[in-house]
Amino acid sequence: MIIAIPVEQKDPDACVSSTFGRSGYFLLFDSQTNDFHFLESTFATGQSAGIRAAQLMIDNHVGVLITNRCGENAMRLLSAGNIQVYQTIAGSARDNLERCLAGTLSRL
Amino acid sequence: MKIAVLSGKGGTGKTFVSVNLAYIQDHAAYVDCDVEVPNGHLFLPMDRASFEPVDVMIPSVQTDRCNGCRACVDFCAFHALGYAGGQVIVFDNLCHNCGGCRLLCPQKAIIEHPYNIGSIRTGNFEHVHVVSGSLNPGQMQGSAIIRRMIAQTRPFPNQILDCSPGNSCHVVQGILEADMCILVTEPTVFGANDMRICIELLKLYNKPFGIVINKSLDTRNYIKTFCREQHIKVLAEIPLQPELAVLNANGQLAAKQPEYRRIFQKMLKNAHSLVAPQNL
Repeated sequence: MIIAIPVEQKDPDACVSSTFGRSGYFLLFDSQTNDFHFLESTFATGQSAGIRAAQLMIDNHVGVLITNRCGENAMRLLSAGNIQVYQTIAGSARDNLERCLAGTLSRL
Repeated sequence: MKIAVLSGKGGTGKTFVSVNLAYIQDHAAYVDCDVEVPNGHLFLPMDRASFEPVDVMIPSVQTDRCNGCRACVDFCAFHALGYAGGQVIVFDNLCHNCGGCRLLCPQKAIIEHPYNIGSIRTGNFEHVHVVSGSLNPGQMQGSAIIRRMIAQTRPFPNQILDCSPGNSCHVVQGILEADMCILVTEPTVFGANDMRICIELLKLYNKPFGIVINKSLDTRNYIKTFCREQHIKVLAEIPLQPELAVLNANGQLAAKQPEYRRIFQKMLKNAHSLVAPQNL
């Protein structure tokens, strides 16, 4: 299962971005291998960033997205791609990942 | 002559200038191209207006024909198409109805269906033909409504296109059609800044244009200085007067009063002088 988190910097201890579509980076964590890597956004300031971010998640086989908020269009595409969306808690990307793996985050 | 009235900044007096310019002309059509918030009808209330819905054609995908090649998704510049769960998802309100996805689809899986984006009201106020477009909330493609209104009013020898503020696609539709453009500004820092941005846009389209300084004070201001330095014609100045504000707030036409009518007549005469007769 791949878990995605929009982050402000390329660092697992970075803050989670306040938005989804306009995040500069996305942390992708593979729960089977415990590996992670970052995707850099090419559309953070462009049009329809939410839809493009959702498409990026789908194309990278993300199963779970943890985000502070998510627009209506992005959510529709994420749902069509069977991606489960969870609400972030205050803290770093790492904190959120641990809570997600422990099953204590709530659905957005 | 077709005149597009623009401003850059909102609230400088585009509609004020437009409705009065339409009113002082014979055989004029006033076209409210500010389809997100049309308000010209407040000054030119229509007698027995006709109502026409505006539909555009947008895509839907026949899933049994789609092979998931994503040619349409990759093509759409407005990201109105996504691909998830093995099918194309269409975001109706983001589509700009260019038809490109349907042309590109190698499987011929895309068909189009009508989709309502807004409406046009048409009527008359005294001798002025009034056309007012309205875009439904949440829709993006107001240009389709503007193009239709402009096409409908082509038979009129004189058109005033009251554009939206800013420099968006909606404004460009008006500029493309116009013989000349009037840029309404006010002597404030915001007014001057947004006027300069709008001038850059007008130069791209190589349209003759002049400036109207609304709410003008009797002192020197940097808009006048700027226009003199850049050799841009100031078509008219409308003084900052409480009486004009009261007339406007009551939905009255200033041009019904002789002293104000003269300002708009001078503005129109100066606007005509910027356009070579063979281009009309």
